[in-house]
Amino acid sequence: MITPRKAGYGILTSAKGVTEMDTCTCKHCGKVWVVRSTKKGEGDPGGWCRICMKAICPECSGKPCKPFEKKLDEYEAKMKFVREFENAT
Amino acid sequence: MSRRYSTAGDQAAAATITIVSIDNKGTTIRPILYELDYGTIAAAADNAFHMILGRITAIGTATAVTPQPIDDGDPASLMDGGSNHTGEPTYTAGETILQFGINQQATFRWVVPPEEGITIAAVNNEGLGFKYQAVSGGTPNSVASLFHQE
Repeated sequence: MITPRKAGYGILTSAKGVTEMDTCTCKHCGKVWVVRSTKKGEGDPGGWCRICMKAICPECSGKPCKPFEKKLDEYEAKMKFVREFENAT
Repeated sequence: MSRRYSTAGDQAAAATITIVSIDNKGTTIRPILYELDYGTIAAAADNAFHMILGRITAIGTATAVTPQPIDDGDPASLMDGGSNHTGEPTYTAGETILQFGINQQATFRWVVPPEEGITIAAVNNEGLGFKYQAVSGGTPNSVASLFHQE
């Protein structure tokens, strides 16, 4: 299994034993997914954005690069405008 | 170095009920969730849960939980916490961050390096909630802890 150096880690403990799994956090939408395998036909390992050079989830694969940080900037600016508008009225 | 905090809560199992949530008290920080621990503490049978961690824009009605600093010398958190919800937080449609199915008798831990965690916007009342989405049977009490840095 190949995952980025700073990937996440999940541990499931049950009566049947301990299952460990690698996870990735999508840099475009912030979702977390379990990386099951990078082998063809054994689950979707997600993608790699060559613009921001980060791991992205299967849903964001093939879509334009828009890092989650940029989305937060836009959302915070929008909410700031809404607050200022509400205070002014 | 960023300050780290833990928010723990509990809730009896029922569909679409939140166990624990955290939300931003102001507009000055972008907290990052880097760990989630979950387990059932009583009378767990051989049933399944569908669990979801999602973004919220309002905390709903809950028992207030103060995020506890990991370093005892740190000041109070700039986040609010809630547990044992009686009024559900407002979840943002389509913004499920993490979901998994789990047997009631199992425990689950997810952790990442803090810089790779789930970022919360610097907007008042924005946050994350962890809830049962579906319950196949039983109403055992479950506990969950959310660790974040700010």
